[in-house]
Amino acid sequence: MKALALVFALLVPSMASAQFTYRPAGELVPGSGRGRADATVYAPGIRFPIEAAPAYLNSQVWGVGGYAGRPGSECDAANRSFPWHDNYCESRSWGMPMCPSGVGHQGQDIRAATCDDRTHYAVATVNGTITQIGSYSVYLTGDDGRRYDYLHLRDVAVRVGSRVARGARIGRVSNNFGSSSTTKHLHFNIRMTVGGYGSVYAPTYMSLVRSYEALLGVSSCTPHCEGSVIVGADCGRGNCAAYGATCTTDTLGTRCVYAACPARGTADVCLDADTSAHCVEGLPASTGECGAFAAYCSTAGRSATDARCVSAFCVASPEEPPVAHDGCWIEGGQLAHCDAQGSISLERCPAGQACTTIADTTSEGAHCAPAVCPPTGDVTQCIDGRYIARCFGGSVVSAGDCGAFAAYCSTVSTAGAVEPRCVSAFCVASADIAPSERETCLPDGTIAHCTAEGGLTDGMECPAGTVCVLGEGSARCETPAADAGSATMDGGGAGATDGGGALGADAAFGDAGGSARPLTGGCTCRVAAGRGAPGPGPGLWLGLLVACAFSRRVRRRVG
Amino acid sequence: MSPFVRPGLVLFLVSGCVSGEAAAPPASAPLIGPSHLAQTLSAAGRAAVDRAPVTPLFFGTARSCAEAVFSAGTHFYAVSMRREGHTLLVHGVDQVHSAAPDEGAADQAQEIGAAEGRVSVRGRPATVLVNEGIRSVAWEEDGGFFSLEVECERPFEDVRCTEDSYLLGEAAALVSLRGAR
Repeated sequence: MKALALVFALLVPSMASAQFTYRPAGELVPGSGRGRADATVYAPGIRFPIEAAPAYLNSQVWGVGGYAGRPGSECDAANRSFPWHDNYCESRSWGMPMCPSGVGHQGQDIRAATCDDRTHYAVATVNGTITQIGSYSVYLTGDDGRRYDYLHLRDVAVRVGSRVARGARIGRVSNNFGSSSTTKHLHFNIRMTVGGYGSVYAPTYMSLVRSYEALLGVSSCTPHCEGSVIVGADCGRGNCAAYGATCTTDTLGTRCVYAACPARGTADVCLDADTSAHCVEGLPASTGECGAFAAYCSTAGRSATDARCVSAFCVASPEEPPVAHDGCWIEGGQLAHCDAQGSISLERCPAGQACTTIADTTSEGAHCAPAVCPPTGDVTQCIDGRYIARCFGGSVVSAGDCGAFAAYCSTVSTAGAVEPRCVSAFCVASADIAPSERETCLPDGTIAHCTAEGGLTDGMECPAGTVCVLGEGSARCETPAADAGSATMDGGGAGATDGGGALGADAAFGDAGGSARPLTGGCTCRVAAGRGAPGPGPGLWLGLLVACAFSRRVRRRVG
Repeated sequence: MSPFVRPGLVLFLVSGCVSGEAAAPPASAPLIGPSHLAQTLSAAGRAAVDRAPVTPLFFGTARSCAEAVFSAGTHFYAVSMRREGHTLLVHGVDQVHSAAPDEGAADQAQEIGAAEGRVSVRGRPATVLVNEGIRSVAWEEDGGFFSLEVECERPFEDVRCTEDSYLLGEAAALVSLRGAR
């Protein structure tokens, strides 16, 4: 008989472990309130508070025979079955700061293996001190200050102040409720200090799940998610978040789903700006390195699950949808064709020609034209006395048009050669004349100042009764001679200038819209360049700023 | 029993820290000063008070510490006392056991901090909780996390457990035994 009892004792835990399943934290018995979906193990490593398995976590109120449960006996087999259910935060009227509704049940109801009264022992969860014994409670405080509350016991085997060892018997599971009674169960609390809450009854469920697994000595779990942590059937745990994934339970089961992948089906997505992935059922089945091919992974202009590599030459960023256009390649003076998918193909220009982004009568975009750049290198230079061009690998990859601002592109100064910049055509007569500090007359009759760099500053109207007159090397406001007329203001090009040169804008660039008119309105600083091609250099921008400055000059009357 | 000891005196001696009638309103100030109470500490009680990692609070409504049971550990202090029809417990902890939980992950955040049970104790914000008829109030004081609990033999009938006033009165009357000789 003893042998049979031993066999049974050995079998019971294994039978229990074979059956043991539990519902996730926060999932209460249906209709019993709103639980706290918190998988945190607030008291890790505790010993399960009932001495022997099996034991059953559920609700004594919503269970069979309970106050709010199905009519019947508290000893109904349904009250001692798996899966377990959390009942922390189950509906109550008592304040509970950690419960979603602010009220609820403080702990967990645990039924012992059988319905027998005063038969099953509650045991110490930790080494600690018995700090309170009330009419129906026993409190055990661990050395770290966590307190474990055992309610409804009888035959209490400890005294207040006594030290107990983990696993030591504390009392027997019963229905003691002081002068009243309840069902035969252990109400178990964990009272501890939780950041943001202070001393509270902490969620108990997952601490009990872990301790019960330890009691069984097996890992028997229902696969589930605990936040980003996945718990497998073998109770193995892994943090999906460590791999940029979330834990998901759906018809395919519990699994990690990569954040960039849809949970179901196939998709092509971008993992980052350089890397694409082909997703199958939430996981990347293969990846592609767009970056290795000077390309971005992009979904711009299409579905987020329809990613592809887009040449970095064809778009400025992964967010820019590709459009068909031509540009100048960065070597060999070649023409580059970008298609609407962001793919690139190269075309060599005819002999003696190279790619340019400077528009001409045949093309607004990049095209082949007589070569003007050195075959290699990255240089900025003037072209045709008008454009500040950035040459890269033999192509004009970008250019600023000084002529659009009634200016020349110039590299000369009184101090010698300088970086290309725009010089106002009202300050010099041609691109090869060095600008100097002087006053000049503008076609609208105002007098303006030329800087040493060839920029125009203030344009001022001459005082009443005077006109702007170009004199020796400079201009001034003078009372016109009776026979002088307005000869100085005819803007007549080079023939009307002095040696310093002025008013030659329309003579220099017919498309500048006349000598004065381009200067009196606002300006748009426009630079021609291919998408993804090297941008204008600093010298070019400086020149354009000078051009803009004089076209946006402040007009004021001479006092 | 000695013939020289009257029964009434025996009752007084046995009751020890009994504060009086169960229904009597709690005292708002100590009946007996901390120094007097400290003189009634047992050696074990004195040791626990000296070891307490937090302020060793005691029931200021008690007449003696003799029947209270003191405990202290590295991170906690507790004193329990049985009175007529109920028990009282002060429990203090010097540390936070768990960081603030990720309320987003727990899908709880919107209603956390419900006003239920919010009171003021000893000039500090406090929370009253009720666990299976055991009424407690929790607060922070001098770096410690304290709770005071009252458990009644008749949890659903005894006003000391069905209402807050007794609990809060006892909390207000707590005194420190630290340094009291």
